[in-house]
Amino acid sequence: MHNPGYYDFFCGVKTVASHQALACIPNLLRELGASKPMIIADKGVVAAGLVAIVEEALSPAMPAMAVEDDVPVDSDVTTVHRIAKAYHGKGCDALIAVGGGSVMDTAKGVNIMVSEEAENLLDFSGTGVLKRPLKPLVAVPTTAGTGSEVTLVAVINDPSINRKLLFSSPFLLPDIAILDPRMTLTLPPHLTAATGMDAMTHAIEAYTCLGKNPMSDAFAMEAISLISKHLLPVVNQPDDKEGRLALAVAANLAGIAFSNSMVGMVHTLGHSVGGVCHVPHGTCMSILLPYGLEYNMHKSGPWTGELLLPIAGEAIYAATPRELRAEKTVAWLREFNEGLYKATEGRHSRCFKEVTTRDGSPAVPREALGDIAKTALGDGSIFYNPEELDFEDALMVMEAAWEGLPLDMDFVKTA
Amino acid sequence: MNTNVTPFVFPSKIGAGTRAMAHLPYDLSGFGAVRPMVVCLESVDTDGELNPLEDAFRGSGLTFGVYAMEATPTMETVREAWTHYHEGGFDAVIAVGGAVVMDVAKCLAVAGANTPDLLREMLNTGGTVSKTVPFAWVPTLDAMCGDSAPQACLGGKQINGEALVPNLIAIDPRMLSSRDPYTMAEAGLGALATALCLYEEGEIHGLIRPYVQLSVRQVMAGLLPLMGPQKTPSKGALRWFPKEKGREEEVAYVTAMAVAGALEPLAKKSLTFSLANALAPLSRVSTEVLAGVLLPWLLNHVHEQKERELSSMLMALGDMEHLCATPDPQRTGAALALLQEKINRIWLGTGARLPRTLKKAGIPRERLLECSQGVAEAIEGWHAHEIEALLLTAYEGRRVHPEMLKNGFMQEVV
Repeated sequence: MHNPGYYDFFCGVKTVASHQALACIPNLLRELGASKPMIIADKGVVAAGLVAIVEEALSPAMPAMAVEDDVPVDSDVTTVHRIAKAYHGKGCDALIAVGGGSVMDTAKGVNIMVSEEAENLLDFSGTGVLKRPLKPLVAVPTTAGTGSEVTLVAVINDPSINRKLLFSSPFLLPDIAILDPRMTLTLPPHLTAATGMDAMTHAIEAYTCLGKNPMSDAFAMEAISLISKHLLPVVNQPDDKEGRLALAVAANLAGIAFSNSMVGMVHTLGHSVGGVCHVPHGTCMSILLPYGLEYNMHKSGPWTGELLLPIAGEAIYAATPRELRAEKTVAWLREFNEGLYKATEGRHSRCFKEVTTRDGSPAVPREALGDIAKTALGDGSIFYNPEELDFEDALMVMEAAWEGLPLDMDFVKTA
Repeated sequence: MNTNVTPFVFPSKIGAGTRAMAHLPYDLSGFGAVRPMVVCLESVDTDGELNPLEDAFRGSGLTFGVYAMEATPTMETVREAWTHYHEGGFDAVIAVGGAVVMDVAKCLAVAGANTPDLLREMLNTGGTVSKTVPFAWVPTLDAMCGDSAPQACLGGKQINGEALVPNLIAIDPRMLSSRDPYTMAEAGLGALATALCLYEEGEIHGLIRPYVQLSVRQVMAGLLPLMGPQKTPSKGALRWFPKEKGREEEVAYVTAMAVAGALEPLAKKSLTFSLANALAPLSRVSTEVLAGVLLPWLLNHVHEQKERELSSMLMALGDMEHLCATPDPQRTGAALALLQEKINRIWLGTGARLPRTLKKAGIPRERLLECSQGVAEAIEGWHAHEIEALLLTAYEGRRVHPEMLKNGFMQEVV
């Protein structure tokens, strides 16, 4: 069993979670010496009426100076430069990011530019480049979720070389995270399911990877418990405000957990599927999660077994012999996915062959699995996976996840 | 879910385990600091207990200075420290120790970013601090859970503000050797009470629950094995650190102190701590011990009389098997019993030096009424007679009949 010897933990984001959390923004910004915020969002968030809710919460105490809503699905350097210029033009002194991961990353990139008065964002890529606090940044997530309101990284595409750049620094953490269930009330059931499973994967991988520690475990366990309890009911009843708030808190806790422990092969393969076939991240996570746990079972089985309690409840946990709890956890996750599939009338995918593009064609052709497996080996998250992964293993897992069949454990290498 | 609109933040970076201090030079440089001043007790300096810190800084290119302080500091202590800080060109503060050392170090961090005169003014007015120089804490086993809280006390006066929370906390086993069981028990009770008093209102907010569970579990994992003659290392703690490096329990215990500090601003609004603070001047023991005495009675009352559900407390106090084995209707009772059992074991570990009743804590019985009236005026949702009945229960150490509580009937309990 892995023994880290040393661990560290940090989450410096002031978080407000309640049904009227947005109303706190003006006072909290004032405490940071700011009064002229710019809102950054995307067209989808605006169309859903969410920016209007935020603007209403801000006014009349602190109306937004500007709203920039032309953020693409994947954050890019050109967009960051453009918005930073607009920030200066409008005389803003704070940022409010309203949206999902791309909006958050864009806002973090803009914050670098405006705080450092930089000409080029690329000068700040990498880890530990920033040396001082940035302008006030408020994160208002509209999914539950990526947890990017509590992460200290931003991934921003450089279209000139078609490469994703990583920016990492504790100074990138938002100052404030606002978890208000009104921001996810209109999220369609299949997106609620996918983003919920994204959060679940964050928490489960945080609990079962090599970077786990007592502090991240506490957050992961709470997140898993909340998602297990609330995700399916919220998918079935989207206007369940208490459930929406619980899921928002869960995604936040899961973000804290994985930020302080890292993740594993589910993210390794999921990033690759997203990069090669452009499948949404949450969909990748929910499909791959049971496979990652299966693959690692001979190494992290006891930890996986502990998750049976929050996932399936004490009756199942108590009735399952200790040596079978890990398998039961995986089985329950598959059943959970099945439940989400039914609740979303088939829009939540159980395997990759079910995932389609907007025009209905397969999003993950079988022929692409080799490329996906090859690309996965360059992903940094593999370092924290309990078991090593080579090309054959990655391909085997992808083939099983494509078909929707359990892994053949006889072929899993036990290094 | 409890959805009171309360912002919550714990902005310290905690590093725990083998050679945790080795990360300090790099982490401090992330704040732009290259020349920290260490604040510690004289004995820590003269006994060579800073040697591991020197090892940590060796090779980093950074050096540090040392201000060795007296055990009963005053504003003049801080002023003297500031003079050395200012003249020595220091740019960060590292507190090595706990309790009064932390108070002085925090005050120095404020003065370093402002001036001693501004610090004095803040202390006089109970001001809120918004700015300090970069500030790290290397706890020893003298740590108290208020050390990482957003407050500092000096000469009976207090300042508050998130800026008083350490930027960095390095929990290094090499600094956790010498210990006094009574001091640790006192601090451990304080941390337990800080975490569990939040159940007074029933279900705890989801954002805070991990901190509560962590504090309680780490206190239990660390403190109990260290108390008394038989030290049984907990499986949970041993899972993280190689046995030959040692001090897993000490690291767990100090981590609990650090994490509990995050809960302190919430805990001080509780009835438990309102009463403990009101009674402390009348007692021979500290607020932390009094909170530990009051807590089980108060939670029991909250459950029985106010019908608040406390079943999730079992997740913090027990383990998974315990939780599974206990049906839901029995969980609150099981949790309360477990809490009392833990407190009793702490009592045993101090050789019965800790009081378990307000009577044993030296509180005069006749002062309970005035205390209850004072606190009832400050706390919503509680009547004076209710609080008085609670205090009487905690005074005698046995439960008062519910009818007596309902009727506010206060007679000598035989």
